[in-house]
Amino acid sequence: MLTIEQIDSIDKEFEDRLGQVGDARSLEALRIEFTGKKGKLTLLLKELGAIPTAERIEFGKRINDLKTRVEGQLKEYAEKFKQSPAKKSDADLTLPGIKPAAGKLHPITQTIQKILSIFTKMGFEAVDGREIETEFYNFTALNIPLNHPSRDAFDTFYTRHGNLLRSQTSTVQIRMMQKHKPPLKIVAPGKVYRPDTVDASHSFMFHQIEGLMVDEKTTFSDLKGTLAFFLRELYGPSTKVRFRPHFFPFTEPSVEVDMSCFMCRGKGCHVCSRTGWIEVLGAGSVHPNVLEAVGISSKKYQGFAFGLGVERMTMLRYGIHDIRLFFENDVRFLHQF
Amino acid sequence: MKVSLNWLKDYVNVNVPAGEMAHRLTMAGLEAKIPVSVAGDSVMDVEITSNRPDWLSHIGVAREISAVFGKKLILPAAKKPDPKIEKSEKAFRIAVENLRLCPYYSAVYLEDVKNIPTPDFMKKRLEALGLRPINFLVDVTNYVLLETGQPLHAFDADLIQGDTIYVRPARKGEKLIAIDGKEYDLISTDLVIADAGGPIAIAGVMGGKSTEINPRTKNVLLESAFFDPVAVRTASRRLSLASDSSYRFERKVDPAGVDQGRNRAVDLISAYAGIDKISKVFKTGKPPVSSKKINLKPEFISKILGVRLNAAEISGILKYLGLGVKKSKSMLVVDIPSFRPDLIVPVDLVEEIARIYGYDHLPESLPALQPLAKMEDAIFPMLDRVKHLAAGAGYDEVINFSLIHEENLLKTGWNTETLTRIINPMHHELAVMRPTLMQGLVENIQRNLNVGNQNVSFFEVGRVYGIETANKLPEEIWHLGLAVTGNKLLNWKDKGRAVTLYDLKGVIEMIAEELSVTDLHFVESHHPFLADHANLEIRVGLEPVGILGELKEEIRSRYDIPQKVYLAEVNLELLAKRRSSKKEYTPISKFPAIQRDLALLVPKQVKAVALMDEVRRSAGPLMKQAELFDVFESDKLPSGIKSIGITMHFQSEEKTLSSDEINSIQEKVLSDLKARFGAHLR
Repeated sequence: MLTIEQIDSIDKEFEDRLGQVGDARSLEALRIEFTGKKGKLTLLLKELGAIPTAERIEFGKRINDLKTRVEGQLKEYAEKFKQSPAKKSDADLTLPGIKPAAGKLHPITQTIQKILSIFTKMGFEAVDGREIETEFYNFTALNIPLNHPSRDAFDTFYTRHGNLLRSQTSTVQIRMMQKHKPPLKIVAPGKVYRPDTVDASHSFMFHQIEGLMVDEKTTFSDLKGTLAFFLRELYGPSTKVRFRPHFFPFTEPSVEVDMSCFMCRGKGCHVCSRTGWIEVLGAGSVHPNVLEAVGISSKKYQGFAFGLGVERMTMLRYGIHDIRLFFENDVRFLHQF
Repeated sequence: MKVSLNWLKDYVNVNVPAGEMAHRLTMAGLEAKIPVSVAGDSVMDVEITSNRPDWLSHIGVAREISAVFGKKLILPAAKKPDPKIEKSEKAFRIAVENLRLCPYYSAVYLEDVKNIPTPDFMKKRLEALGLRPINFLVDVTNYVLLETGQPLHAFDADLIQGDTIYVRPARKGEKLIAIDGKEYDLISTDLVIADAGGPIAIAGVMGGKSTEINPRTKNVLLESAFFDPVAVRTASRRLSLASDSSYRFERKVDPAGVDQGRNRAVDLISAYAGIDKISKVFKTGKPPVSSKKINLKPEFISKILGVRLNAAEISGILKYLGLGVKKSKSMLVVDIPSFRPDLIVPVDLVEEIARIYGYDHLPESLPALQPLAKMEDAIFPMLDRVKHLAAGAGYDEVINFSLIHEENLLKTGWNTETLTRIINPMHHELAVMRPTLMQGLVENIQRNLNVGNQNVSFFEVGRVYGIETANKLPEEIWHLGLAVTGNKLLNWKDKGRAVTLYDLKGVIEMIAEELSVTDLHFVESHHPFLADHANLEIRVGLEPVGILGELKEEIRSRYDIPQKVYLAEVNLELLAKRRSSKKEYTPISKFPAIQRDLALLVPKQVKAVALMDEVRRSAGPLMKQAELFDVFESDKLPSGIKSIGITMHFQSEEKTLSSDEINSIQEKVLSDLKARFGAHLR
């Protein structure tokens, strides 16, 4: 039967045990032991029913007082444990992160990838072709006659056996047109070679991307639209585009494409030689002689072609002043892109 | 070419600010710089494209201005010499050896020309354009050249030997001292003007000193001709001698302008200096004027440009350009004048119309997407993948020249004789197309070490070039090259260590794995670039696809590289052919995996690959994976023995393996290793 001594004994036991509690976990265990479903105090209350009615009130009061006190103290201790500061770490979290080794793609590769992704978006397919070529693919098929001043712009390196190093990647397009009949929509990136004296803006080897679209109805206005779209994708939607007549033996009408200077937005600065415009592309409607040279009927098919210099675009983009840096491959240069 | 705006006003009257003139011309295709003020005039520099010889004169530029601004062109009257001037009886015979080289030659004898100073207006114009006035007769020829585009030459007639003018190829051994004072050795491809004594001018290029107009000149022979463009170009290039004359002949002068230019000059000389007597015109051949018509349908214009223009607009543009236009049924028949040799096919006219109309007035459209013919699989996606993998592994991409210095290759014992060779290289050293990427990579390492970049790892994805024969173009093959030197893991936590061959080997293995190339392995080899003790051939199955190793010390020291360098090169096209096509999923086991480590003592000469192959063979299919996690050599171990640590991973798809089952496999492995290699548990 329930006695006052029992109540007191549980009271004392609780106090003793509370004193030994060191952390939230043992506090919680204590709470469950005393006030949980099968807790000592909880069971006491259950035994209240067996006590004669006369003494029940006094017993009840004692047990409830104890319960209130126990719950109060449990709560107080819980607060204390919450507030006590976490054990301070003495690691120096400002030490630098340990970066995984990551190399860089060459800035020329990055530019090529960026430009190709825009043309791929427009449905152009990237194609590859050889660099050592014949007179036919580099000149004859491109309507550039031997012994004509227009050849001067396309001086080339010749090999021992009368072959040459391509001076533009249009050679790839000529080969493609021989292999595949229109409709054609291709871009050809790659190395080209010109015997220019090497200086800060000229290298005897550099990269071009040329494009070609030929079918039954592609017009000059399609050329304008395609190139304007490309430039706005690359340099931003507010880029202005200007088309100026020019001369290339393999296109007619021919055009040089300028874009508003991305640096000064057309106001004039050192990047655009104060004109507000930067020349970026050569292009034009494919000359009928070029189509006929590869066995494509110029009466049935028409289209346009364009070309750009990758190093030049990259130099303009990043403000690089010397083209030779691309091929010196100093890591302090390569790591900047 | 410089033009004087005042002079242009003689032929077309346009009153716009000079800057606007330049801009409008540029936007129509004649690139013009902002005019510069020079002594009361404005001088504009224009860039003439090689297809527009008709622009090489003030009249030509004026015609362009007339078309761009829609203003009338006023041409100076092409006057024949004043009939009142007495006829001279002097006769020169013209003997042209080959009409193909000189289709038309004309000359006129001017007797007793007064020696006057050059008139002011002429002097001013020549000076504004940067020409030095020399004497009146020479200045007139320069003036007419700049005005009409027709080059002329004035000979002191009394200094000509004999009375025949020969237009012929030079003969071997002939020389000429030109008016620039230099002596030129002539050969049979040089077309010359000659008299009885020999060459007196290089045709179309430069006159000779012996017959030069001088202060005592009284009688003049004035030449105006049409020389074959290729003949003039050949001589000019060979002799490295160019002039305003040769520049124009190369691009083809207007055949109808030959007589006009001569008449204009005679007119000017007569008007200002006065001529006593003029002979008849001596000539041979005839100006190669071919009458040309192009039929142009308006629908054709809209088919090419993508926009419809009205017929009146089209005709107007063509007329201002100096072309004759007649309507014939639904078509325009366009008469092409002799000064427009560049207009040959209908698209040429479309360009003329479009550029005068204004490219910026033409619409922009985007072509509709359409299904295209299937192309063969380009190699680019794989090349890009390889680049990303190598960069991800910590290697920086380099791009090197395709032309290399042969000498270094030769020193490594490489046979360069049949490599593709350039006969006109930029630099004498860079004359051979590279057969390997390694030389470039070694040079990159050297250069970077020299500037203090100590720890570098490079890769290049680029082509190497094969041998060239008379019948076949050389092969061009995509390779991957890798080079690494220095230390790695340099940070405050890891100890940092020197880079080793195995680091590079791992990159190759990783790339092969990512490309689904199986059966990649390495075999000892003897590549000339690599050291004897680290010289491997990379194979896929039996096929060699590349090399891997340490750069030979003797090559390293030749480049002054003080530290070890590891190199690899792989033929990516061969690798591409060995990619497995499909990846297929293998179900993963639901049952737990158990790991067991073995520390083994094995004789030093036992190769890791042999040991691991035997462990796998012996353990059977329940061992899913075995890795070598430690290699350890020390004096504390018995001599001739090394320690190897292997982790084995066991797992079954059907049940949880028991300790007993695993133990029995392990026993078997140990027993097989002992029998095969004499290996013991440590």
